[in-house]
Amino acid sequence: MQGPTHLMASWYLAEALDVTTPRDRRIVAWAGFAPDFDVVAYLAALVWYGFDKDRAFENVWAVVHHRYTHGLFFVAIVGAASYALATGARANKARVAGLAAAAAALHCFLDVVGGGSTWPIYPFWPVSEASWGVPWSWTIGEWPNVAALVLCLTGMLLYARAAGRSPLECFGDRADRWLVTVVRQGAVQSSGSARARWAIWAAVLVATVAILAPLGFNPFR
Amino acid sequence: LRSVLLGCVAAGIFLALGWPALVSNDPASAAFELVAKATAAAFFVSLAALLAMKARRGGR
Repeated sequence: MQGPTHLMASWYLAEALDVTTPRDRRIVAWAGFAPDFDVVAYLAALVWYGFDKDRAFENVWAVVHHRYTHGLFFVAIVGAASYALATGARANKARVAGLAAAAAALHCFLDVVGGGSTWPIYPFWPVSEASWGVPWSWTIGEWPNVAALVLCLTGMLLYARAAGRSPLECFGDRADRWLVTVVRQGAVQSSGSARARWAIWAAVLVATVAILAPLGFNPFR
Repeated sequence: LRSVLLGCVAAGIFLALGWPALVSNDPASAAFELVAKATAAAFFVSLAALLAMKARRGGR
């Protein structure tokens, strides 16, 4: 599934299971995204190969993606890091670390189901090179993945309005407060907030297209 | 509903990291396809339902 879907789904998971502080919700959300940090290798390869996308893809991304970060070993690292970053008493730190590890492991599951058949995960690396993938796995631009992304983005706006916080919290409290303020000012009907709301909806639409277009998504095909 | 969500999380983790070692590493397994798709769907539906209920309470 797309990175933003993993990030938002993990934040929603933390919120649904009553993780109380923004910092702890951020930890769980970014832990759910963490297996995709291997994209850094692709970016480095792009620079290394002088922005030759084909060589960077073939020599690095095709080899690296899912191999080192989509398995039990990385999930354990994420859990340990989350324990160190979480706040409060030991019991709370352990709960946050457990949820963070679960979010990272769930990322692996969602990539088996919706990562595409050419991208298996490696559950037991470095102990074993055995891969795990299925031929029916939805490619990144197929409708179930697109539906999950659109639902997460739409849910972000609706939940921000109703509950006063949103997955935008992952990028800081100010960003979240800004979104909540804008979506909650519907009753005031000031022209400024109306413009901002339309700008947000347009940004969501553009972001969705920007994420999906390079992945080959074409609803009319 | 909370138990359903936690069950889906546990099932998803098992399907990704336990199934190939403990049950079958056959990628064409029809049983895996059925259980995995049902688990993914149930996860998103239960998550949405829990959050909808929480949103109705104003996020509390």
